[in-house]
Amino acid sequence: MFGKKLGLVAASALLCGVALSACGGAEVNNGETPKPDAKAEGKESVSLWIFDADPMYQAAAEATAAEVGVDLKYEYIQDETYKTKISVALAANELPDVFQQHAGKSYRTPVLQSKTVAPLNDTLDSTGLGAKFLDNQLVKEEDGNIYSVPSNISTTLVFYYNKKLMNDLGATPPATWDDLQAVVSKAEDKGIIPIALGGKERWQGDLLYNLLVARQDVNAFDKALSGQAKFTDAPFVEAAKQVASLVSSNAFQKGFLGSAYLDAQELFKNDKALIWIDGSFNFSALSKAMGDNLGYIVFPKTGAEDAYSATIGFQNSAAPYSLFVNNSSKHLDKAKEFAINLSLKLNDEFVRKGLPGYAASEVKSESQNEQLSTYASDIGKTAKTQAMWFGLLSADIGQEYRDMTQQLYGGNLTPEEYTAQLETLLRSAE
Amino acid sequence: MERALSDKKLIALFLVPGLTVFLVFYFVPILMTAYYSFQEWDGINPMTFIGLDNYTKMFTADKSFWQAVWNSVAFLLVGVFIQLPLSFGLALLVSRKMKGRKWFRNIYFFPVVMSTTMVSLLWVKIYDPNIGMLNTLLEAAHLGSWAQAWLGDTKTALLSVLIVTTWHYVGYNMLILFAGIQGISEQYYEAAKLDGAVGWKAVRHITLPLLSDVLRICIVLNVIYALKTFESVYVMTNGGPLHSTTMIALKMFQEAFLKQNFGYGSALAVFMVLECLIIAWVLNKVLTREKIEY
Repeated sequence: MFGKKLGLVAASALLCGVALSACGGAEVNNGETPKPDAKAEGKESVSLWIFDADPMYQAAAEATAAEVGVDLKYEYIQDETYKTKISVALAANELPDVFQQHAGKSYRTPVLQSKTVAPLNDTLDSTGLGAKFLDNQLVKEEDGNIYSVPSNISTTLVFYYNKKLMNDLGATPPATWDDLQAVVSKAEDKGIIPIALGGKERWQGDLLYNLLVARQDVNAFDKALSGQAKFTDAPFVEAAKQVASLVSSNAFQKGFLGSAYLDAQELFKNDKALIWIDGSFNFSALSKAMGDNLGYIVFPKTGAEDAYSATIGFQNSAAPYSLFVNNSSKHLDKAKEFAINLSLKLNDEFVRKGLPGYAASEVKSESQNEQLSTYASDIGKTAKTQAMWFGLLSADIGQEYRDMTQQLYGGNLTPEEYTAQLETLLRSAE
Repeated sequence: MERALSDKKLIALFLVPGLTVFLVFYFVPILMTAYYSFQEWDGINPMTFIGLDNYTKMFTADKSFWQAVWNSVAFLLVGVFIQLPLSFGLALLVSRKMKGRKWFRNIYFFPVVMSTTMVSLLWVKIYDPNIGMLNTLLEAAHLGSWAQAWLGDTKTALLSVLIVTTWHYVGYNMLILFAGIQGISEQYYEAAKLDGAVGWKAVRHITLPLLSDVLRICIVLNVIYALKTFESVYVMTNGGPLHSTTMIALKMFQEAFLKQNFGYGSALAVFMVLECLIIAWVLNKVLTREKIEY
């Protein structure tokens, strides 16, 4: 065991040699925040890694640490860097006491397979806190244990638009595929970027395609993945044609394949782009930046399905955003108690913002802005939340799939070629 | 002291700590990586021995591998045939006894001091096709038709990255070559002047031959840097769009840490190590010549 670990660390040193300097450069570390007098008080120490940039996480973690009576070592790690760091830490068993993990099978499975995380059943039962979580919000794994608690609410893909630019164009937010094409054309004619898209990280384009497929047939992906249909069937081809059509009509900004997500977002926030397709997790940040200028609509009816038929969720019930506890933690019991309480504290914050939580809460909702209220109402009406495909695939197939989708956006693959390759690749995921 | 230096056992004893550190931190990781390259391994579950399958996949099935090899060659060629002559030109300029030469030397060297991440982010902003300085300047100069989606277009992305790395490191080679030029005795130039060799003739017949050792080092360093390039590409394009700027080091990182194919990532690492060793050895052989003395 020791030899394998040593070998892995050694090999990682070689593999990471060139990588770490870049990752280090990109990392924004808020630093550890031990209380100076904590050691003197004899408190047990708990380290926590978080990738979510919302300051709410640090505030909630510090408040929870004070309540539970632990000395918190909080470390924020930039999202993309986190994905690398956590996979190395998992393999080498160099994890902090408590850590956050992304939603999706490709992220959750390695954590569970590494056997480095502790079951939380005992603490959930003994503290009675397990009862606070709503039905199905605690994921029971095959061995009957619960290894994680939620760290985020269910978030979905959202169609944001810039109200000022929409008014300047004299247009109304699109409700159908034809409307969308018309708005894109109008914006393009006036020199406004119709849709800002961060193609560098690939996920935005990937999720947009997922949603276009769901608008063609809400069950297309599930049927194809289970073998009842093919990825070369009409819904996939039609959605791919829509992507190709958007690209050829210059719907995305110049050089969108090389644009980073945050740079593309800036175009939207700074009145340069009309439409922005992103997660609902950005409602608060975008509202803060754009005020009343931020518009929201339910994603247009771009296919046979109704606009309320489905949305794309960033997580699925079997692999949500989670907090895990390292089973090698020196203060395992305290770490478990801290993780569960932090999850509930975060839930309170979501409820306070007027969002649907994952656990019971005594906190009262603060007033919501209009857009967020409309979104909450629309989500209530939406019949199905299709988990993003990437989250249902293993890491290697998921990455291949995103590479392939980028080729569709880049025009390297025709819709027919793309769906044929999709069939081959995703069939191997069965 | 002399007795101690003649005692080979004692010398060996003193070498043990350094040698141990070298073996543990350099040699063992390379051996372990070579071992992993014959396995199918996600870094977590037990490994499966698959022989040469990772290498077969690398050379026959992975199209982006050959793209990465070609990109490495492009970095290598630009490093040797464009960056190095530029550095040499700048080194010659700052070697001339003129007012402000120290200032110019510092200016040319300044980008080297900045971190690659910072330089890359800076150029991402300059290249931005929508709000970037480069396209804005081109449009202001009525050259709007030259404006491009620099990093977002497969046709221009590699060239754009190459320009940045050349700009970033031109001062590094300049400083090494400048130090070499300073080491050439003035008397050679004076003697050459009597024979009518001034200007380019002096450079060709005095400076270049006497700088051959320094140039060799610069070429080897440039080549190794080109083959190992990671950070600038990772920050500027992440290998895209459509793998047009991908490099072996970046592929290795993506395979191992994003796709969790530690076995295949290790095979790429082994390829990179061997590629660097072989090319550096060949260059040393080809470029080694008898020391010139006048």
